[in-house]
Amino acid sequence: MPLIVASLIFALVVIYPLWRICDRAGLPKWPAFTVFIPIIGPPIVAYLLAFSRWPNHPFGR
Amino acid sequence: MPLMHGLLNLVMLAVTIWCYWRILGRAGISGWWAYLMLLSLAVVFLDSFIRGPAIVSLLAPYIVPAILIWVFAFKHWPSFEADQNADDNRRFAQQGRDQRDDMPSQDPHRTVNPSFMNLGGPESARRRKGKS
Repeated sequence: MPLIVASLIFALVVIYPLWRICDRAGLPKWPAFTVFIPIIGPPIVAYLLAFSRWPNHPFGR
Repeated sequence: MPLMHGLLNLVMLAVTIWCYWRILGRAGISGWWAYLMLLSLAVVFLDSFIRGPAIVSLLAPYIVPAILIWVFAFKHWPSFEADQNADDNRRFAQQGRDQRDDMPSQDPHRTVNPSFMNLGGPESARRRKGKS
């Protein structure tokens, strides 16, 4: 239970910057909300940001 | 069981650092900053070593990533300021003149050994001749 509460607090703290990162990268915003899934949520967001193509990237990466 | 749990956490940390490395690299920031995640591991280790309060071990893995994410979201991303139409060596031209090909002696902020200042001049040619 404490772990889930800590995960939820973390999700509330980082949801806005993750939203902003997705926005700057040109990605859809929904990956930011996966951070609300306890324990595996943050690695999922990191994986999506790391391995998906960023439409706003100047070199199309 | 605790060993398995610890190993799983280490694997998860390694994967997260790898992902952060890639994300930072895409933004044009050094991927080495991702290793700041190891700080949380160190805090958890110290807390369990000195038998500190459990709340520290519980929250430590979340504090460093949260700070990193906030800084990354509002920092400027150098890759996004590069000129995509420019030649490879001139992509960051607006960030200042490219000084990579300048002689060290041309840079007033660097000190150069005086014996290397006139390499190729008549004095060094005379020395080379004298040695051979």
